[in-house]
Amino acid sequence: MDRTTVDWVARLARLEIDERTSARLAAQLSAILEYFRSLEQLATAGIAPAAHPGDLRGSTRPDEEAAASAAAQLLANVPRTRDGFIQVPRIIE
Amino acid sequence: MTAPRAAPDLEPVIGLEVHVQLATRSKLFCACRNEYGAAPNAHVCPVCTGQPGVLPVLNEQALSLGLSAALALGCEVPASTKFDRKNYFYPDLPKGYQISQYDRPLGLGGAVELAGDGGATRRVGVARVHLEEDAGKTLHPPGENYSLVDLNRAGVPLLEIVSAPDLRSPEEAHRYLVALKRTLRYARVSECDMEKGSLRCDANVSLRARGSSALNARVEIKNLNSFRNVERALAHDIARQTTLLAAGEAVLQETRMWREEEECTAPLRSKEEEHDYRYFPEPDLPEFAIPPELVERLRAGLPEMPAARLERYIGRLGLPAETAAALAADWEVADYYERCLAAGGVPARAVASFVLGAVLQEANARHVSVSGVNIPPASLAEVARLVEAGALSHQAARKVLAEIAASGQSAAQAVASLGLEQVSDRAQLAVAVDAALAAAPVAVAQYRAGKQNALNALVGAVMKATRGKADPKLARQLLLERLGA
Amino acid sequence: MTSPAGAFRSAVSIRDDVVHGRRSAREVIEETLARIDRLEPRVDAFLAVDRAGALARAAEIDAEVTAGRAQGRLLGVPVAVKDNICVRGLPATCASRILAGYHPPFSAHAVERVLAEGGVVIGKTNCDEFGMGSSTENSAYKPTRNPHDLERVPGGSSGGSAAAVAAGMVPLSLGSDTGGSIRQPASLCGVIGFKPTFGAVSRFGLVAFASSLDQIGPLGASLLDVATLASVIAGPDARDSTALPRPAPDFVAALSPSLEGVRIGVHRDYVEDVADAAVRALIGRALETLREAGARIVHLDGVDLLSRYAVPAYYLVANSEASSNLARFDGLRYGPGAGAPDLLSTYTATRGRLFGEEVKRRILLGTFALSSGYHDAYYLKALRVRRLFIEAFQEAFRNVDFIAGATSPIPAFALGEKIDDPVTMYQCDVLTIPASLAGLPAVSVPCGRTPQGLPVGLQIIGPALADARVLSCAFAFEQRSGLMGTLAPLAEEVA
Ligand SMILES: [Zn+2]
Repeated sequence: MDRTTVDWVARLARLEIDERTSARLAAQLSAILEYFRSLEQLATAGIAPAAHPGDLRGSTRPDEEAAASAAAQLLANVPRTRDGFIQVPRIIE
Repeated sequence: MTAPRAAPDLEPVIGLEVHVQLATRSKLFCACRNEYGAAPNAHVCPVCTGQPGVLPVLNEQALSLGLSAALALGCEVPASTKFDRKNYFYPDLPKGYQISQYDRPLGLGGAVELAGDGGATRRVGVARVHLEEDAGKTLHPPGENYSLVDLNRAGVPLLEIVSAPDLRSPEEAHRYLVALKRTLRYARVSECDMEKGSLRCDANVSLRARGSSALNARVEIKNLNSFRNVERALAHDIARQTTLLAAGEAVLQETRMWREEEECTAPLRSKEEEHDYRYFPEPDLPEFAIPPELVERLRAGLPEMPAARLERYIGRLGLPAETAAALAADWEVADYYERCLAAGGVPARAVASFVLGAVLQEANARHVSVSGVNIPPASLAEVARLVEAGALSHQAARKVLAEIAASGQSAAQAVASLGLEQVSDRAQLAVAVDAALAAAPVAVAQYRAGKQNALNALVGAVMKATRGKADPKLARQLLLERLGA
Repeated sequence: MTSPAGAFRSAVSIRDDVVHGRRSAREVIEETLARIDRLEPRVDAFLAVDRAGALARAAEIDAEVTAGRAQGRLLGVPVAVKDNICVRGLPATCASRILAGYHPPFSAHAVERVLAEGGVVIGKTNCDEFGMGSSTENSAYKPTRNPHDLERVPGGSSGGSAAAVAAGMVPLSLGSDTGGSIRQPASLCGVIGFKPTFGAVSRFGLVAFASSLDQIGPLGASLLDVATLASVIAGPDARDSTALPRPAPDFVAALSPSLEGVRIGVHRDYVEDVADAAVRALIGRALETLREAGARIVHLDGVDLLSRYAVPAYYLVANSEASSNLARFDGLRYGPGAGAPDLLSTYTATRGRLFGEEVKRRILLGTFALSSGYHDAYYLKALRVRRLFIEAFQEAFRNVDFIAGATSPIPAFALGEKIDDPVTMYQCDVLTIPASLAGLPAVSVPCGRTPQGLPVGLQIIGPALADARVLSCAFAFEQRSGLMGTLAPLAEEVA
């Protein structure tokens, strides 16, 4: 994983990373990925991916409204609010 | 890439992505109310604001409505389905990902039938139907350096319906949308109200040389807020692309916005487009089985679809094609009509004209849908029966219906309170007939001179004099007697 | 039964004393707070101690006792809760600066269950940031020290929860285990740590690291205590779609000291091939103890348990999920956020400056593994390997009831020793990861100390849903090991 890749992934993940860190991470992530290449030795053709460990089946909930919940409490955690809205830096369309 | 030479050789290839909000009580993965137009952030909870530590739980009605839509569109429904995360950052997306469906949607391979000219129909493929959560809403107050986020809409169940690239003209795209909306409303899965955002549409369009399968670059058009704008935006962009290609220039693969004021499409800032959604299975939700019994129950629960209804109205009820189409255009109108018929003993045609006339006028005047009109189908049937029996004129019937809607009275009460019982007494009516003859010597002379139409004017005069209460048949008979015919 | 060491007060005995009015909950909580006051400056197990809240709750409990209405399997028992598990009214930082000051408006299901049984949440324990680490050095606030040797790590990521028990500050704590985060610190701190079958305990209120692997579980100094807390927190919860739908069995009732007829599988990956010689020796002795208790030892050397692929498969699956789970931390809806002029730089500055280095490393790795072009080679490949792990265990459990061996290949290491070498640090989890990948129940129970005095844990892994039997097997071992209630020597100084 080179610096360019690290910077590209960092952009995707919205992580500000300075140049020095980027170089260090590139080296570390390269070593990690190199180590992870050992998986290539395992033949997995035809093996179904296991997104979950068990044979779980999804269950649903009835379409019912719960009593009004803690909207005020949730907004209390928001750093900036305005007239009941969450205020964020200007989005450029 | 070889640039096609001239415009007439090019044909547009159009696909539409339609999002409809499902008509559930609560949101897709939490119990917040699914409601349009509440105060900002009134319907939010830890789940739909993406608090750390919370988990989604699927709304069973949203799943059922999604499956109903898939079935109504003729899709294959799989034995099980799953959800996936679509990852991207945006302030209206609280978790930093949208729970959607990637490779195992609720439905695949359906179609929408478009009625063509002369009874021919055209099948437009529905590539897939999938369930996902809506994002919140952002506002951008002009002149400010901030934007505002309202999460009431975040987590509302959405159904995405992706057409096959089968559409060949903006006009056809428009007809597809009308037919799709009709089907979805029939299946009762969504209000499909574009003004309230419960139906939204993005369009893809590319051009290719006629007869060729090699497409030029595809352009996606967003911000289409009405069916008319879909058509206009497509027409505009097809013209734009045609001009580019004719000049030997390439069309860029890009996303463009429809700018309604300027009536043109313009590119979105390309920086925002650096997307890599990194879909992967939603680990918080296991697979969901779709048991065959559920599919059968939902299929059985689907109402008769518009095409079948149209056929029945024409074939079995003998309605004129235009009337039948007008009734079948919307499920609420069609259902209302059928509930009137169900009251029994009324002629299909007469009821149809009242529904399409008085009832729709009432609905439009009050800005409500047909189900919001305060005329019980049984009352409308009763009024139709009175007309049929000659006890009420057409004109009087309209007044009666308006009175029923306004006052909530029964048909009989409304007729009585308006004093509109028909005058069928010969002696009583004779007075009005004589007065009409005396007042219109010209019409009398014309009639005598062989002008049959003059008789209608005289009947009209009698009706006017009796404020519509006269039995028109009797009035005509008396007039003819007096005129010595 | 071996008599416990001096400083040890079991949760079960505390509860009995409180229920019968022999001690008030207030006395229990005051004593607990006093021990925390004495020991915490040396151990640094807590990120928050809820002094006022715990005393208020103790007063409520005492009033109930006086009124003759007191009940609950944890009545008056102080419980420490890992900081990535939400407790209404207390901060939940996940040991990250990005959640500094965040107060969740709800409690985790497991916490609700503890409170419903009369438990008292005493505070929030330190951990690796978002559970990402094996030493608790990745806490943004402070490292926690191993009570057995203050210059060494307690393991991680539930290091604070393990250290608090080992130091005798609390009899029980809640931790979370994604790839060994309960068992490994339990092993390094000489306490018991249990990771239930995936889905046995609701994840509602656990801040997600890797959703398909995370499980909440108990840590304690006696199997009876641990089984009690496990029974309290296990069971269905409609708010977690991955929670098992059936009610959990009573783990306490299922405890039995007998191992007659039990077949215990032994595999070289977990015994002979373990890196540290002292650990190998202690595990060998532990297996002998199991045999003496009636178990039949079955060698599984014909089965490939794939352990050498565990770390790569796990880190790809876990970090892919983590890269998505941690996307919500953007400073717009909660947390301090880093003020920046525009939206993009608000995102990148908040996340770039407030996440720690290991968290960023893992987000990058996971983002990369899911990105187009690499998704199949890394993420999907790892999911396929995960299937092989599930099948390998199923194969092994056809012939044995449990697999037993080391929890950690090495005992507690020095603070700072591995922190700059991620690959070496990741190797600490090689023996705990396989059960996590397969979603299996597994417990780490103390089996002795190295000549340097460092604790070593015996890991017992069972098939899916065999939680009760796994705990019972560990109980039988504990009965014979003579180590029940053994705390760190430091705990005895404050006895
Ligand atoms: Zn909600």
